[in-house]
Amino acid sequence: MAMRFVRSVLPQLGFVTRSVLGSNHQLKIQLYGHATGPLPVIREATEAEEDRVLNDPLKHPDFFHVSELFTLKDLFDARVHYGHKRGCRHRLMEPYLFGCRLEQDIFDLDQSVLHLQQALNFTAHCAYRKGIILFVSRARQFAHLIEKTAQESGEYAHTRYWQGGLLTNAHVQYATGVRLPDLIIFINTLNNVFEPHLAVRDAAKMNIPTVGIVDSNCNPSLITYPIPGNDDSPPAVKLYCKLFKMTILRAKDKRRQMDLLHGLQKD
Amino acid sequence: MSRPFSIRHLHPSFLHLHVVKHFTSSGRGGDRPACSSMSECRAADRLVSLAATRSGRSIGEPGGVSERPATGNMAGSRVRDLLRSGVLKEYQKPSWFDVYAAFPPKREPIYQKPKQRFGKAQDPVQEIFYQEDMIRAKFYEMYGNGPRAFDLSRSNFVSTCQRFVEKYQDLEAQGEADEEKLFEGTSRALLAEGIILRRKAGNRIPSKSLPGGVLQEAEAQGLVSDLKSQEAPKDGQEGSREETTQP
Repeated sequence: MAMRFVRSVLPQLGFVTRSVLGSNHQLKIQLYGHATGPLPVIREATEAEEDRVLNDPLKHPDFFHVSELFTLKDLFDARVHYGHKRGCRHRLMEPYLFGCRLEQDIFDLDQSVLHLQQALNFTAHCAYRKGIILFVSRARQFAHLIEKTAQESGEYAHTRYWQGGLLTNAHVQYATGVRLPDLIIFINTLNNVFEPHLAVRDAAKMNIPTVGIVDSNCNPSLITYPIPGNDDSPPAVKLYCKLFKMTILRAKDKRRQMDLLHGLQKD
Repeated sequence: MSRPFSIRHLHPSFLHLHVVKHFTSSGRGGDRPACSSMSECRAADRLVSLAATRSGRSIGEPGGVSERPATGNMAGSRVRDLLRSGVLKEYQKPSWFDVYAAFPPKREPIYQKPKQRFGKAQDPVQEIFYQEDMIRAKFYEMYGNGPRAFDLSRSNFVSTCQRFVEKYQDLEAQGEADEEKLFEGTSRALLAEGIILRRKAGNRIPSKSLPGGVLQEAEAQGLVSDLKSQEAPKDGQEGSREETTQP
């Protein structure tokens, strides 16, 4: 492995190798004219440094500046304020509604902005701590978009049929010791038959925090960080995907930055 | 992916004797014990997963601890209580726990069943109506949908009805008081600007604006009943037809 690396670099650097083949002998390399200087030292972080890297961001109310990612006007232009009709309304969503215009429920975007900021902040911190994030949605219209978002942000998505024991019976369905997600993001809280998605209840059982877009026909009580807003219009869902992707990438970049700052080298 | 973990290093006192016999005699490494029954497998898995957690892995792995119903207390308070009581060790604390403690949600996520509303309980969500809705209702009553279709792709689009409303408000600001006169005046003004408004079937021109003595019933009562109802102005075409006497 190391030999292959050395051989590939050989023509460019022009150094001399005195190597002995065989897994038991160590490879000795002498570098001449190496432009970048001495190789960085790899060392394990001390307890205090790790604590600082992990806990300093918690002291700041908006460490990742997620509130700068969007404005109320962006939500309005993306038609986030449109709910379903009055007959579809879930009673527990009434606090989040601004009013009802000709039978169509309208969300209070002031509240939506605050909820979205909280949710994005939590997502960012989870991604910063290298948590596994799972995007869940059962809207077939947006399945591809959500899978693409998850892939681009380096996380996971499940937009297909949810088998009963995926979270609660993971040790049997996958393998023992499988790591469950640390955060589940619901772009649609309901499944194809307009019932609450099973993953909402299962995540609550398995102590996994959830972030979810709750429309006016959803039950927001089990979601840890609900975001009241439209989940059916393409512009709204595109906006959410864009925001989640930006927060996760931002948080991961920040983590890499902080690690480098404290003298750690990771692969 | 979890690291493979050998159960040989754990005290196998809970395992059945024949399982121990299989395992310790040969001395070969194994990631999973050779269990002959389901309960032994589950117990072994639980130990494997408990011991495998090193740095804040997901709480979902220990089987018995996390299987709780979704009602009642939720993850934040439940995990906090588990940590306090010592069931969960510090290294088993989930990575999101500190974040949850630092930024708690506005409302604790406890399951709530939606309650039915009975009898005289009012709808807490307010209706959204504007002053211009009176003018819009009259416009749709008289002219139906208007000559031009709505172009919703543009956010700065001004519909015929909106132009009517703005003109009406301008005339009202200029001092005109009578509703009928305002209405007619706005229609004439829009006609001057080039917008032709065709009346719906069943609406007659009121007698005051006509030169001759044509008897008509006023449309006022029909308009008032429509304004009070919940119907959309666009549904005025299917709505009630006001009484008009034919000459």
